[in-house]
Amino acid sequence: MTEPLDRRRFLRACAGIAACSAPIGETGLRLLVPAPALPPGRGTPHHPPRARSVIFLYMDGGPSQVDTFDYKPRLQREHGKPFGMKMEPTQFNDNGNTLGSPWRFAQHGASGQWISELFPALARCADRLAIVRSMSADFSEHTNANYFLHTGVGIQGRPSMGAWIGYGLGSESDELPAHVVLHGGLIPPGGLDCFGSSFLPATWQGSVFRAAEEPVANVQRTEPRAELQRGKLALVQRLDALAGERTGHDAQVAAAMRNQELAERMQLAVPELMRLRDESAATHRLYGLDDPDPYTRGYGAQCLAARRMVERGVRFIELTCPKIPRVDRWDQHSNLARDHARNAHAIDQPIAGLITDLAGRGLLDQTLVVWTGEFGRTPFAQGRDGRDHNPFAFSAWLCGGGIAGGVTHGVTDDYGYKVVADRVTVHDLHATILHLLGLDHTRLTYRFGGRDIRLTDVYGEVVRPILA
Amino acid sequence: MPRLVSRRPRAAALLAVGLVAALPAQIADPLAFFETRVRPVLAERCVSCHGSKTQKSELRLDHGSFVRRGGARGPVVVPGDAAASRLVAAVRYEDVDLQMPPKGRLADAEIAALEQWIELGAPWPDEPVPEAAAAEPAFDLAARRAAHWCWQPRARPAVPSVRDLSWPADPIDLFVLAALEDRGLRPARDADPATWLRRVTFDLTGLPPTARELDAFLADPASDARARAVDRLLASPHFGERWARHWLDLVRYAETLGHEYDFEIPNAWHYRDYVVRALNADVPYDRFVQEHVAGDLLAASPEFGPRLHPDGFDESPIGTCFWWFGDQTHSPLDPRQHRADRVDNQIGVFGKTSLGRTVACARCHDHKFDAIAQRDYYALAGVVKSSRYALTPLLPPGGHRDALGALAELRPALVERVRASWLRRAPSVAAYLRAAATLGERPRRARGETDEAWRARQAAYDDSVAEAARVAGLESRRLRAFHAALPTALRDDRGHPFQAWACYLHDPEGWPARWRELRADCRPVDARPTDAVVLADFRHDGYDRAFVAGEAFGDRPRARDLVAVDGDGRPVVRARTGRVATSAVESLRVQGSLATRTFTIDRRYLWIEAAGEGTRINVVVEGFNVIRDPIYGPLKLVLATERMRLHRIDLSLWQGMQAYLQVHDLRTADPSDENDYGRPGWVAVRRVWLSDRAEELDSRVRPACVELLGDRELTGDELASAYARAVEAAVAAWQPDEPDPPAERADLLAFLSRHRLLDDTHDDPFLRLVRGVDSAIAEAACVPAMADGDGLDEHVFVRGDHRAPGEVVPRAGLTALDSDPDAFRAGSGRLALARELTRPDHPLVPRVLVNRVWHHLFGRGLVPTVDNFGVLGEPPSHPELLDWLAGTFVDDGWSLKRLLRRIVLSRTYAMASVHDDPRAAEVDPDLALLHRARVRRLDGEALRDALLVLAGRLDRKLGGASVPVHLTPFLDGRGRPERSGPLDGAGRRSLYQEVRRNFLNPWFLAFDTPVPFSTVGRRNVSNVPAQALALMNDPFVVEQARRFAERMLRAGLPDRGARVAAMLREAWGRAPERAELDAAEQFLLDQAQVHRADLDDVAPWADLAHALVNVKEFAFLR
Repeated sequence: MTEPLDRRRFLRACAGIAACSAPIGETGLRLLVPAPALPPGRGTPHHPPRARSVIFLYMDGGPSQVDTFDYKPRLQREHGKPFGMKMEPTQFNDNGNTLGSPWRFAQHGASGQWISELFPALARCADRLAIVRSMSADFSEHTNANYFLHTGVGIQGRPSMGAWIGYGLGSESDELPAHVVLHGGLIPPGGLDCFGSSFLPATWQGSVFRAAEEPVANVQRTEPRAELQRGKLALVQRLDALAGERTGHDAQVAAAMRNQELAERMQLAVPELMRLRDESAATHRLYGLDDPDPYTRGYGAQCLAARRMVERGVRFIELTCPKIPRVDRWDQHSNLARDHARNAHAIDQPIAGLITDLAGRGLLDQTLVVWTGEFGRTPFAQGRDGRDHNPFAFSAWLCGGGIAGGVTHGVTDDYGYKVVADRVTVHDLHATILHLLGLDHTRLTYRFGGRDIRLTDVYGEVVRPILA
Repeated sequence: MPRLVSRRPRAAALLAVGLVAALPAQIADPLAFFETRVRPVLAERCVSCHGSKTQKSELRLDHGSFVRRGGARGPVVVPGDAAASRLVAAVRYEDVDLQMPPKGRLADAEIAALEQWIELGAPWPDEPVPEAAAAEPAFDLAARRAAHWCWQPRARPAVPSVRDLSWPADPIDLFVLAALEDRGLRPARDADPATWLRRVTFDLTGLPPTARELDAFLADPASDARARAVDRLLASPHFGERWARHWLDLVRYAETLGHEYDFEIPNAWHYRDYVVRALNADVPYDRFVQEHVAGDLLAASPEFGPRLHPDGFDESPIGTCFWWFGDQTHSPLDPRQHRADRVDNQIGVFGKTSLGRTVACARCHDHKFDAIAQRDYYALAGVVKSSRYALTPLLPPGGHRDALGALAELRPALVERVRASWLRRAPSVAAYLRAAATLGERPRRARGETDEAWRARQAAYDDSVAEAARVAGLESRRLRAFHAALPTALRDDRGHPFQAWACYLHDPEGWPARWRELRADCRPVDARPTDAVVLADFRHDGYDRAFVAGEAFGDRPRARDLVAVDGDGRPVVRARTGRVATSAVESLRVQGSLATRTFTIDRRYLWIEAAGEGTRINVVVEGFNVIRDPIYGPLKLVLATERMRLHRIDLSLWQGMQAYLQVHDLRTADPSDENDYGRPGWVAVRRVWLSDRAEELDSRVRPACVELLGDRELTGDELASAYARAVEAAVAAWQPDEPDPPAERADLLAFLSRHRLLDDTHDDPFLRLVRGVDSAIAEAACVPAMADGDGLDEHVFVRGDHRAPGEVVPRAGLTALDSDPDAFRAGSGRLALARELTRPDHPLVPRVLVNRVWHHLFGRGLVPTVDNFGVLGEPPSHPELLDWLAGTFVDDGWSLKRLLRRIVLSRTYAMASVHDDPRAAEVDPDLALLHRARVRRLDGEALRDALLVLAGRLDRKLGGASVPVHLTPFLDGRGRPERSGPLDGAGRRSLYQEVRRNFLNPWFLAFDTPVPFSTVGRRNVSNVPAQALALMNDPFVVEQARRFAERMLRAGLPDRGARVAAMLREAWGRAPERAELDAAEQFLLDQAQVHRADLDDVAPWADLAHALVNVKEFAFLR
């Protein structure tokens, strides 16, 4: 599928291929501005993109903003005292007093970004990060909030942003899916639907890869020897060809035949992709693959695999969190100090390594890295030593393609409880991600159930102050 | 858009008042103040959303008149009262529901200026009103309806005339041919018989034709061979399975709720089997729709009546399960929002499925394009919200009248049998009490105690019980029961008949004093003023406005004791005082539920006076029925008490919301709940009320034990004998149908029975007989159906925001369909809705259905947007044919089978998928004109089933519980089932593979089985490498291919050539050609060589089988 087709042939192929992925026929092509040559499945952006790929570092469970990127001295001062603002109802309604952060904050880099001591390695990348302290979400329950973060709607079954992006821009790889989830051990609450394609064609659903021998389902042949499989596929091709001679080839059947060739290539490409031992010892160290903590090593492997995917043209890569025994994601309703530290240690060096490596290879300019949870945590205690869910304010950061480094955006109140200035909603985050990829979130639409549906529903504004 | 709830009244602005109250006087010139301090703030921070261009929430802040008028949610400024002004609340950001400007708070000085301005009376200079924004054209429903085809009455078109009269076989063909001839096209030639048979067999049953079926068909020279083949397929039970899957796509069928824990929807699969049965029985589609909308109400309606399952129960209610297959979160902070979203999903599915209309588009505003008003949406929302989620037992009409009648006849004899045996035993109570008193406290496991140590202590206890029994000449088992039933903890329980005994046990020395205290404990009846709002009082002779379902609760509250036998044939006696709503009198096996009317939570506590075992009471707030921790756990009571007690539920989190109380005595537990109920049980409820009182005094004047034992001196030594006499007296006086026996006597009998302190151990033949009669009461399955609640009209939610209720809209169907709200007054109105939908002249329902059928048979509907007949959908390619089919369908008694038979026997359906005129593809590239058959890929279900057929592995059993999902390492996350299902799904058809929302079968996902979130009448048909990879490498496919090969090796075919030919023919449903046979044979030889195997080995044959299912012809229908 490397030879370019002319546009007419392409349109015809699409109409057949996705058989009635009618949508592509119906509306999908609306966003393809006329272009002389378009290889199948490769869309054209609405405007010049600043980034080509996205690495989405999803922090499952909701990290605490006031312990990571949103420094609140007042919280420390009033630690243990009754909370100074009105408390909204929370998920567990077991609310205690003001809980100061157990971690020290310091300013880092030339930009002087405030980052807590939870992230010593990441802090060295401070000048590359745009920290958004004014995120807010519409839901305070994990699953709704997860669906919301991933799909823009707080209920199950909408296409995830990775699917939207694939649908909008197509794939740049002939051998790998455009949308990959690197499974670190935790599938977020809500399950695989966080990565689904819903009414968009199945092509764009997230393929779940494990950092393992068989990274993705069905990519390993079952035949004991390659020769045996080659023989089978040769027979299949021969019989398909004979059938074509009898009846002529339908476009769909032809597409299925091409898929088989592609699948054959994927069998080689995917294991090669995950062969991290091909990387140098220095690279391994950079990503924390020599760390004594197995979860740091695990997340490091995911980060390294993510870079290799970026190199191979994968469009959207989501990393899910490691499953650390007795640590419930970032969801520290209790044991905040112990478990936030464990989580942070697992991801800190790997992420810093990823940013450094991408920059060193000249890939950071075309790769957008996004770090966020589905919501934040309360500045007051849940029980003795935990924090409950807080959708009113949380922190995220972005770096890489099109992002201004060293910027802090948005303001929360003195406790870090609620946003008071420059609110960034999840829709705004989506709009911004699409914008950096060259897509206008108001024009990336798909007709379903009689409506032109968008990732951002009827909301969303690009967060311009964090753009380079 | 902020969606989080705040339950706090908007008092925040009060804070501001203190700050600003003193200021106005200092402002000399209010208008100047406005111009310098206020107008700039409004202009810069507000008017971009609330000005001439946009008026969010219908609010403008660019002129005084607009400011005073306010917005969609009412006034925003109360001149002179900043604290009462919503504008101030909004800018102060105190309320998470209402924060303006949304992107960031104003500066404190700006906020203060706005407050001061309002305190000054919100002055605005006299200036011309700015021009109104160009008004959007008013919503004109009638004009829109007149303009769009789908609302128009169906035509009764005459069949068109055509030039080529030799081609058509059915009127359908005339319509198709006429359109082709119009464009100068000819239909394709007929498909060859094998192709046609494969096509029609998959289309009607979802399975490939077997070799035998193919042989028989090809050898049949009769002119009606096709008709007989179609009749055979329509009569096959697999027909219902195939078409049920199409229907399940519409109703987003799933067996779990998704979200964090993926809780199960109890017995969802009964609905799936119901659809299969209905399709196989060719239940008329109008009846099928009626059952979906109001199946729970049909049996009682003379107009409709029940529809009986072969086992005798009315199965109509199962249709209503479809309303509840949506996803649900488990602990919403704002149940109103959750409900609004869920109702939206329900209306969306209902509208798309039955009407082919996206009614849900009108949730926030009048439909942008279609003749559907926002009022229409809320009229339907009222219907949906007036209906409740109800686990409903499937009962024969009239219930188990015979068995219950027989039990009633046996009752007096049973009572006497029990009484006689209890009287015999009553004197021994004294001895058992005394022996139990020697045993000390029962052992309880200590924290951190090892299993070993704990077992040792238990064994020691057993020994001591046995020893004490031996010494006293008692039964060890019974002594243990006495000991267990009478802990000293009862000593503070005034209502307990054995309170005195527990006091004595606790402190024998202090007994005389304690007994004096107990006798002196005489409380006045609680005469404090009460704020109670009584929701139900069942001491009266009638259920008043409560809703009763099933047969357990009878038709009125009863003052009769429960006297029954349990599953082990032992007597169960629960004596009562006065009338109660009770679920059991003669049998524990009857099922049913009772619900109060809907009430508004306007007191802090709900009080319930109830007793029961193995049963449950739920408070359902805003229709939310996943009653679980965190947050919702306190809304349930799992009953385990034989005595009437007061139960208190704290409702402070849900003030102002709508709720009702639901009392369940059902055999199906809610599987999302870990509590053990759902056993045969019973429940009795006396009263339910709301109150702010945290404590309600017990209405008992004196302790129960004093009433029982008498107000007289009793030494500790006399106590046991006194109890024995009291027991004897109580048993002797027991009249199970006495209306108002003393409570302490009833409680004593219930206590003795519950702990089996007096039961005989021997096997009584009479009790066995009663148990035999009792067991005729079948364990009816419960399904998650609908039940009518109070008919409550809904408000329009302004801009779809449930916190902004607008006008109330009477319940009704769509205005554009001439729905009559007056018909909806009774109950929820669903019965009226069902009636309206199935009018024979309905413009949409029959059109939508025949179009769906057409879509499944041709890969494209006459209206391609099968779920959207609206303005944004596509118009019909053959409008006359659509109407003709719809009319014929209704005339044929809404029979799906007759419709299908007609279409698949048409010449149109029989066309080949190739056309020899190259111009045809130019004129009709997307086959809208049907100039040839469309090549269609089998869907994931059919592919999988076909593999099982080839493998000889298909289990053709119909129905039953689903096969658990086969879990792979890629299926992970919360709610992951503990056990994985088998790789091959136990050989059951794809239809029977479990649909767990969070663990959807990857095979089906790869092949476009829709995610169950809303109606999908037209699946995506994607074509992706994952599909090729699955066919190449999925262990399931490899396993079936191997079985296919093994089967063919055993098939007794004469030689290799015959075997190869048979395999190709089975895989593709047609005779192979020479070149194909040659290629396959050569492959076998080559492959055997690589395997170093000979041709008797299965390996090369398994490889051939695997290759054959990878050939595209296997996966595509030509």
